[in-house]
Amino acid sequence: MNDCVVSLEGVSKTFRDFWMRPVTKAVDGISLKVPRGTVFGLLGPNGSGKSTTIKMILGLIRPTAGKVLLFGKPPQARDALKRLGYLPELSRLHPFLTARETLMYHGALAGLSGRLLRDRTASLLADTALAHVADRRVGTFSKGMARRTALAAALVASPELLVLDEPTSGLDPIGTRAVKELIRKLASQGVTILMTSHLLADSQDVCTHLAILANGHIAACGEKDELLQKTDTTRFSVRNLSPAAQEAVKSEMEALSGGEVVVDHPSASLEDFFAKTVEAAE
Amino acid sequence: MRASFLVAWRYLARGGAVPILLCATALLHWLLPGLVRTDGSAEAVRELTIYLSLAAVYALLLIVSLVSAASLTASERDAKRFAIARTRPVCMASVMAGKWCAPMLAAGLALAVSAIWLLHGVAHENSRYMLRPGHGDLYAMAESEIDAYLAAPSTPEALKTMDRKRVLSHMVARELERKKVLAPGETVKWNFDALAQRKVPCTLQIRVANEYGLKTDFRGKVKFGGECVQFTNTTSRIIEVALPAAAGGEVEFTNESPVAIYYSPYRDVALLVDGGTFAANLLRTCVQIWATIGVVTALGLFMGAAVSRNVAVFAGVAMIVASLAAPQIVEAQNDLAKARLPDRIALGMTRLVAAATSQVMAPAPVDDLASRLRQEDGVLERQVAVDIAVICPILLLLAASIARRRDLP
Ligand SMILES: Nc1ncnc2c1ncn2[C@@H]1O[C@H](COP(=O)(O)OP(=O)(O)OP(=O)(O)O)[C@@H](O)[C@H]1O
Ligand SMILES: [Mg+2]
Repeated sequence: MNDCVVSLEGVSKTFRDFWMRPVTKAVDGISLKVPRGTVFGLLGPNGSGKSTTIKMILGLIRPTAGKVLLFGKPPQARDALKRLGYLPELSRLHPFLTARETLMYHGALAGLSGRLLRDRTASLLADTALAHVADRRVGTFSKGMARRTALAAALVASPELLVLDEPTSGLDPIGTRAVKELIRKLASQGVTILMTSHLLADSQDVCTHLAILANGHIAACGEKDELLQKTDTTRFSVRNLSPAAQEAVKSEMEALSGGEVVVDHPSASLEDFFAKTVEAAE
Repeated sequence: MRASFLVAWRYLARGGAVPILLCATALLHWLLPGLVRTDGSAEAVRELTIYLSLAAVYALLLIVSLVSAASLTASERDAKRFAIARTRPVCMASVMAGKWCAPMLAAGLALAVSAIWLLHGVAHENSRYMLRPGHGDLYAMAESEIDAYLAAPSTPEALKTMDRKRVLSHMVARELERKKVLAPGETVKWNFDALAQRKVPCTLQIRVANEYGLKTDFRGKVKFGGECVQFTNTTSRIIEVALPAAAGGEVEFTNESPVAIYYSPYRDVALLVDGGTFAANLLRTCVQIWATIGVVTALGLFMGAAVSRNVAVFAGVAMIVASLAAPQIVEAQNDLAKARLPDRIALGMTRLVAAATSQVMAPAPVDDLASRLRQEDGVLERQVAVDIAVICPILLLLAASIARRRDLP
C-alpha cells in the first residue's frame, strides 16, 4: 500500500446539468493503483474519461461514488498537493507573463521562494529549451513552446508525482522526443508519472504500466511488457543476409517449429527518420 | 498571496488599466483648473477645485476598480486557471487577497498623484470641526406631541389607528427642516455643550436667508463668554464670525439687520473649531476613499468569480447606474405610501439599494475636504476598519469559495 502513489477504488463520475439531471457517465466504477516509480499510461479513445479520471485524482472534481487517494490522503490535502505537479490538457498559461515569470509564479504558489526559486526556474528553462525566449510573453509563443512552458511549470516544485494530461499534444516530433526523454529521465530519478495519451506509439515508448479506458471502464490494465509481449512468438534480427541464406534458414526453422515463418525487413520508425532528416537540414 | 498579487499587477499594468488610470488622473488635474468657474471669491474657487478634482478621480477609480477587479477574476475563470491554482498547496482566499491588492495599489497611486497635486495646486486652509448647538430629544418631543393629540377628545377616531412610527419620523424630519425667523432686534441663544471644555478660538457660522432669498446687508452682534463681536456681511449668505477663546458654550446672537433672518436651528448654525492642517485632512480623505474603493474592488472580484467577464463588467456598470439613480428615485417617490403592492416592493428595493450604496455613491469625505470640514473623531477610523477588516474579507471569502466551485475544468 505504501508504495502506491495513487489509488482509485470503484470510482464513478456522472456529470449533471444545472437541474441535477445526469448528462454523461464519464467514468464508471474504475479501480486502479499507480505504483511508486512507474510511468503509468492512461490510454483510451476521445471521450473515454481519461481527463475526468485525472481531475478526480487531483481533487478538482469530486467523484460521484468511490474513493480516491493521493499519497494515501484525500486529493486536496495540502501535503499531497506539495508533492504534485500537474500539466493540464490545455496549457492555460497567463498570456501576459513571460516564460520566466510563469515559472516563478508557479514556483511561488508551490511554496518556493528567493534564490532557490530563481535557480530552479533558470535550470528548468534550460532543460525545456526555453532559455532563449525566457523573457518573451507566453501569449506570443507557438503551441509547442507554450506546452513546454506548462510542462516546466508542472516540474517547478520537483514533484514526486507528475500528472501529465496529453503531454505531447501540439508538439512536433522533435519536441515529442525531447518530452519523452525528459519523462524517462525523471522516471530514472524516481518520479512517478501518470500520463494520458491517445498517441499509442509515444505511450509504448515511455510507459512501464498501462491502463486502457473505454467508455469509462478499464478494459485492460497491467505492466506494459506483460500486456504487449507475444510470448509465443520469437524474432531474430540479422544484418546483410543473402537471399539464398534467408531461404535456407527459413526452411530450417519451418522444419523445427512445424509452423509458418515470416521473413521481412524492419523499417526505421518515422520518428527516427524525421529527427535525422531535420538534424541534417539544420 | 504575493505571487498572485504580482500576476494581477502585471495583468493590470500590461493590460493598460494602470497606465490609463494614472494618465487620466494626471490629465484631470491638468485640465480642471481651467474649467472651474465660480462667482469669483478665491475661497469658492478653492472649494470647487478641490471638490471637482477629487470627485472626478473618485468616479474614475470607482469604474476602473470595479471593471478591472471583475476582469481579473473573470479572466482567470474564463480561462479555467483557478483549477490550476487548486492543484497547488495554496488557499484560494489568499490568492483572492493577492488579487485584491493589485487594483488597490493602482488606486493608491492615483490617489497619491491627486493628493500631491492638491497639496501644491491649492491654497492650504486648516480644516475645522463643526459643532452643532444642543437641542432636546426631538423624538421625545414628537412623542409627547402625538400623545397629547391622541388624548384630545376632538381627535377623530379614524386618526387614532395611524402608523405611529411613520408619523414620528415624519414629524422629526419636518422639525429638522423647519426654518425659524429672527425678527430685527431679536436675540437667540444657542448652547454648544461640546465647546464648554475646550478653551479654543472658534468661528460661529450661520447660513441665513431673508424672506425673498435676496442678497441683503446682514448685521448683528454675537455675545460669547462675556465678549461681544459685531459683524456685517454683504457678500455671502454664510455669516462667519471669529470668536475668541473662552470658557462656557453659550452663544447669543442678535439680529441688527433691518430685515428678518430665516435659518434652520439644526442645519444652519454651527461653531467651527480648528481641526488640523489641510494636509492631514487630505490624507484622511484619501484613506477613506481608498477604503471605499477597497469594498468596490472586492465586489468586482466576487462578481468576476461568479459570472463571465462581459456579464460581470456589464453588471458592474449597471450597478453603478442603479445606485446613482436610486436616491433620486427614492426622493421623488417618497410619498407612495398608499401605492399598489408592486410599486411599494420596487420602492423598498430602491431604498435598499440607495442605503447600501450611499457610502460609495455620495463621497462625503470629498465634500468635507472641499468645505474644510473635519469629521468627528472616530468616524473615519470606524468606517475604514469596517470596510477593510470586515466587508472586504467577507466579499473575498465569498469570491474564493465561488472560484473553487464554479471553475470546473
Ligand atoms: N464538465 C462536463 N460536463 C458534462 N460532461 C462532461 C464534462 N467533462 C467531460 N464530460 C464528458 O465526459 C466524457 C469523458 O470526458 P473526458 O474529457 O474525460 O475524456 P478524455 O478521455 O479526456 O477525452 P480526450 O481524449 O478527448 O481528451 C465525455 O463524454 C465528455 O463529454
Ligand atoms: Mg482529455
